[in-house]
Amino acid sequence: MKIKALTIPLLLTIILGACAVNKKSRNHVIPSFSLTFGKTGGFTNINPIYSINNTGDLFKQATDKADPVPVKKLPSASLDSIYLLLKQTEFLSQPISHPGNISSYLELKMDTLQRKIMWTESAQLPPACLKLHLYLMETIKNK
Amino acid sequence: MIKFLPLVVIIGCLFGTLNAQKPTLKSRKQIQSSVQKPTSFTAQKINGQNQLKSGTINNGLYKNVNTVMFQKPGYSSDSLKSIQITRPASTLKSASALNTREQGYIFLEKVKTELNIASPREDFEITSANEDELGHRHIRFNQRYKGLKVYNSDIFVHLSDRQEMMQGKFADIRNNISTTPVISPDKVTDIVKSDLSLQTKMIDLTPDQQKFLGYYGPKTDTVIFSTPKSISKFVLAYHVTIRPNYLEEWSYFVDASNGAILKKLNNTNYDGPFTANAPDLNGVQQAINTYLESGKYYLMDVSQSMFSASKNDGYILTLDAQNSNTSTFKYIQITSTNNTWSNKTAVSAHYNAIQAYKYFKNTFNRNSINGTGGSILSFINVAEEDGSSMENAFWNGKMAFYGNGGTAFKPLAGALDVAAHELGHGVIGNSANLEYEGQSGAINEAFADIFGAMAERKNWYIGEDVTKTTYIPTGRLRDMSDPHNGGTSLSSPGWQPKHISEMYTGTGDNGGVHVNSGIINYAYYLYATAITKEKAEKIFYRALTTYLGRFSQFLDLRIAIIQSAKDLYGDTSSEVTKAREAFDTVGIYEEEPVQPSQAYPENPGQDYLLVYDTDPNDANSLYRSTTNASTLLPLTTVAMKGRVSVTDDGSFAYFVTTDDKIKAINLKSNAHEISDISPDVIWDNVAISRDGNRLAAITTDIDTSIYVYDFTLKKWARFYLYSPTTQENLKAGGVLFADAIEFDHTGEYLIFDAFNSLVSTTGDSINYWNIGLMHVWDKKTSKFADGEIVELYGSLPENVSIGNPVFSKNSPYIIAFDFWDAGTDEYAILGLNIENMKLNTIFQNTTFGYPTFSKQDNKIAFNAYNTSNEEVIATIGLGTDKISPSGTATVLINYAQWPVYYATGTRVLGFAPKANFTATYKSGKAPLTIVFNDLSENEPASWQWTFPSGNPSTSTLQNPSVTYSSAGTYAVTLTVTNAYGNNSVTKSGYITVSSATGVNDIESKVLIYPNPVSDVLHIETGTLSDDLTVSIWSLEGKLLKRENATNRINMSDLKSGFYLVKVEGRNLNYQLKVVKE
Repeated sequence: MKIKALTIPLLLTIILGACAVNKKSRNHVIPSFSLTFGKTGGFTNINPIYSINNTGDLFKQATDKADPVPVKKLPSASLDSIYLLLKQTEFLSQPISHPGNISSYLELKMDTLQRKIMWTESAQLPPACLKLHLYLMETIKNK
Repeated sequence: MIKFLPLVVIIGCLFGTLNAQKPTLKSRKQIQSSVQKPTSFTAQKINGQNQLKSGTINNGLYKNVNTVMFQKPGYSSDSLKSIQITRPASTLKSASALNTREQGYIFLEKVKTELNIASPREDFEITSANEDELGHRHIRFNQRYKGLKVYNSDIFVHLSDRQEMMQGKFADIRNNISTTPVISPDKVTDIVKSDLSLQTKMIDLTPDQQKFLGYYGPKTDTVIFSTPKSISKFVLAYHVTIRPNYLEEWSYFVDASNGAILKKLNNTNYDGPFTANAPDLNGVQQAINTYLESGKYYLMDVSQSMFSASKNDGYILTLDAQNSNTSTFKYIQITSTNNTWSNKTAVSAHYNAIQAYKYFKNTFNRNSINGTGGSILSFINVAEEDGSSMENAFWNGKMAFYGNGGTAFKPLAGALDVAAHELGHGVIGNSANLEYEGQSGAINEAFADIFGAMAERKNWYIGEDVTKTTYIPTGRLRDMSDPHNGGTSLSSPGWQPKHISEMYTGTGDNGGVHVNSGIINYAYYLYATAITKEKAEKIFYRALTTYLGRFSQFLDLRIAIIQSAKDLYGDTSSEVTKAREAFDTVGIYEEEPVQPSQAYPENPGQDYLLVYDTDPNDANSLYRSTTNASTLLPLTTVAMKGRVSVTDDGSFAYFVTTDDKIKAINLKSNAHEISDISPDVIWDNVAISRDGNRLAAITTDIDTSIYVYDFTLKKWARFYLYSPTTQENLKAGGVLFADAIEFDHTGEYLIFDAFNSLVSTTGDSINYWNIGLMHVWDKKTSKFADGEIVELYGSLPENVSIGNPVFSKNSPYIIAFDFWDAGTDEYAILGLNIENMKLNTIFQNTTFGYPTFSKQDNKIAFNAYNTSNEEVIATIGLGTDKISPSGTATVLINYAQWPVYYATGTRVLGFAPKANFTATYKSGKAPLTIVFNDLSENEPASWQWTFPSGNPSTSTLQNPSVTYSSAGTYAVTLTVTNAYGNNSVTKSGYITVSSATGVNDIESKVLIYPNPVSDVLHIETGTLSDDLTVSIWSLEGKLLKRENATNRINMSDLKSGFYLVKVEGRNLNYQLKVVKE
């Protein structure tokens, strides 16, 4: 058996940058996407489902059988931050699937791309995904 | 090379993240009969002295007095006396400008003559000084004698703009006291310990306890002490503070001249367990166990047999999450000042947790949820991330959390079956640890419901105390006696299947864990009804804790239940028969199990041993040895960081150089060329897959990652390390880096060891190595996998680390690894069969072994030390199980390390499939439609079914649906094939079809039209039944639609193709295949 490629490309690195929004660099259109997130499982398996799209609309479903209800429209800066954080996760490219009695998840739909990550402990998340998750949790808070 | 670092003590399983919050260990003490009540200090009157004038302020008026209270003249011996000196306030302008402390000393200067003290600054030490809101200044002094503290003295000076006052206990020492002890501190400690052993139980503190209390042994100070019951004498004394055990603290005063015990005092606070009666959420007065500490009562139960004061474990504690959520979680203690409790949610949660604990203890003799007496924590008032009320309860792997419900549920803490369900998940997690998805997840959920129903024991409903009828009309979340629960399909809240034929096969809900659990729930209901709940719960518990594993499927459950019934009641008992009937009824049939293959063929080539030279005088590094070490051939002089990783055909060995590069050596060429693999100078370790298609590597950075490169995709993937199981008693930290890595035989999984560094809530560092398996490659899709990690052991014993894992050459389930106990400094090489988790000691070593299996798996080679303390490579034989030693160890090669066996032949690392199947029904009336489910092992790639007299008569689907229209008994044959071969199984007499009464009548009277259909399908049954349920199924057996009380069903939203239409009604069960256009 021959030895395989003698030169190997440099490592992929994951950018662990800050999530600050630089307005000067935000002169772009956010492509169409839909990000759904929440929890699954528990005794009743009744868990609210949230979704955000590229127009900044935040929806909430009380259960998976309920109709989505608009909650609020996110400011553009907030939407920019979410998209930037999403990019930093490489659009959820890391395969993460850790089902448990109660699990959190993020599901991205973007053109033909559909990805879902699921975890039971934050330690299972790469830093970029954890940042995105925490930002989303802040976003949905009733303030 | 393994990076073992000095280990510190590992704290055992505790819920210690709450240590900082809950009652402190220091003061959690049980009342013991030997504990002396602390004596209260009472002020002593001075002999012959007039009563003390009050120093208190009367109506804000300051008395301009100048009084000194002392003993009468002529009383010239030392004395400890109450003192009060009052003077007018200083008129010096400069006085107010001085700080409080300085003002205190100035006052003492004024009265030093009266006090017969020479130098206030030497004879008094300030212990506190402050100014209050009135501008009054207060200074507290401790008296000193020749630099030593006068223990019994306590002086206060109070200064205001009206007056200056001194009060307190003053030691009037007239006589000279020697400050040179005669008795040594060690002798005094012995005296104290000897006396204390007569007072209470002496138990040495563990290192953990020492650290937590900040106590490492008796503390001894020399002081000037006033002998008790006589205030006429001061002596030099030792003040000894000592903890005879974890709970108590004592003070002793021992005369430094003769060792006489002058005084002893038990400082232990008088706290402990109490009981209370309080209303719960259902309005019922419940008796609960609470705990008093420092004047506050807590919802903590320390009265159960699992409680251990010395380990600070085994309590049941209920806390309030204050409507925080899992992302920003916070909590507080729930307390009462008088042991009355109005928080009904808290009372319910606490009471139910205690009852659930008792259920597991009394029914199964289980020592708490984790089986080892671990504490049980419950959190109430947990909210959703957006702040809304949580309509749920859950177990996060360690603790139970309860929401307060909303439109669908009442506060979830209000039901005992909810609490027992959640804690039941803990029992499951600490036993079979069923994976929470698919069938294993449904079994997990079913067991939790079983525990819930059995703990509550009043009916077969789940959540009936908390479910609102506005959400589910029956008022119960689930019904074990009728999983349909008043609904008609999955679209009905609370509906569950009760038979395999209704099984949900989608991806939602982790593969339907809350849905398909209904099938197992119903099997349990049938079984318990047949043999009693008492027997059924014990049989199921035995199956869970003895026979089930992480990935057990429904069929495995059936086998486990039957075996458990045999164990407890005998092979031919009715309990065994009823178990079979129960599972048959729900469609989980008994099939002859097929064992997955256990061994690959041996490598046919010549075997060798690679070793790394440790002789500093030898320029060569890597040698190839014959297996008997008769010939050693130097291969290279390149210095390496660790042992090499070899392809299965023995062609290349990969390694990392001491300058952090990945290189490979050609083992088959005579020149043994070295090739550069990666130009990056960042590497620490490397492993090559057996087929040479993938490389795994670790960098020198602590980046919590393993990197995998696929030579075909020419891509890297980064996989993050984490610990799948959260350790209790931990505040921060986790897996830092991996070191030893090796691919399994399939190239899909990596086995690795990783360094964990954790910080307990007491600030202790907990460092250890553990072994994990990571899924890095998916052969079916030829893509990187999800990186899921399974730890070899969820929690290791204190001080123990394991590492340097290696697979056997021919068995996918056999590994060997190093074991190290830092506490005893013991080393061993252990062998483990991962399939049955059987563990054996292969060799008790004196260092890390880095074991490697020989070509035939009949021996291992490993690092060791000889009797001259020189590093050698030794070998020891293995038994047929490959994890037991055979014979004694012998030295093979001196001055060498990191042995790696390899062979030069080519073999196929894959297993041909083994065919097996089951069916949703095995008997019934014609026309009978059955879904056949493939159970084959070793991942077949294609299926070929034969169904004589069935329709269709053959199929290439994995799980086909077949209809039998004629009565008879039929065989079924399955042939499965993959890249490594094929296999067939024929089950004769497998399906029995009987004639349906009046089947021709039914066929002639039931009309289903149009067929083919484009939208609405109509059903007419004449007089047969007018209460129909119509359902549409895919040919694979998946339920697509179901409607009740109807004679039509709309199929316009379905794709074109064949479908099975079922029509059920009173005395009617009819099926027909239709075509959708």
